[in-house]
Amino acid sequence: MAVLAIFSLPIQLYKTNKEIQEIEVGAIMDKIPDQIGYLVLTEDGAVLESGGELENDERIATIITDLITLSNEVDSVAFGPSENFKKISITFDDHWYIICLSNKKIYVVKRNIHTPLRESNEINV
Amino acid sequence: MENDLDKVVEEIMSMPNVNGCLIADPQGLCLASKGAAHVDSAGIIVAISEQACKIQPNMKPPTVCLETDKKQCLIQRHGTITGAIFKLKT
Repeated sequence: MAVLAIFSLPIQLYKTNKEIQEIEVGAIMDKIPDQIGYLVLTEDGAVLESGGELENDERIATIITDLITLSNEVDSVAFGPSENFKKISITFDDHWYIICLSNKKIYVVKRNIHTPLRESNEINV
Repeated sequence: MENDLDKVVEEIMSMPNVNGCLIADPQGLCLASKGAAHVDSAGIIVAISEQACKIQPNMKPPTVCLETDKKQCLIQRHGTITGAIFKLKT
């Protein structure tokens, strides 16, 4: 029993690569201001990581992968065949989704929009 | 009706950095287009706006922005009409 316990020790002490990756992505996503949810998807739409309001939201994941597939077919006259979209944003009244592709993964972030105060003349970009 | 629509399209095209404009009906048929926007992309543009509406069907249709390094395409639905504006980034 004692021998078994010693052998199982390193497994308990060290986190797997996947766990480390999940923690890293979560920490990076938490740094995004006004972030209220995120998704990391494979190119075929499978959820790799998720958090906040988008936790395990496969419905949004499917909609977004379909949207990306559609966007590949937009106007080859206005956008040349070599011009690929690097960012897609979907803006609602009080929140927006930002979709980016990197390292064969789809990153989706849901962010809150703060309506600027009336006395403020600043424009948020 | 076409005159009114053409006037709106002209007005959009006169704005800075706009290089194309397209207006489509719910069936994905082009009602008006000018500049870089090609008539054939009307269907895809309506499909994109419908897909984006599915995210939150109870809310007002969102604005979709597709960006490349130098250009961007803004798509918004208003009632049954969908509009797309093609812009050059500054």
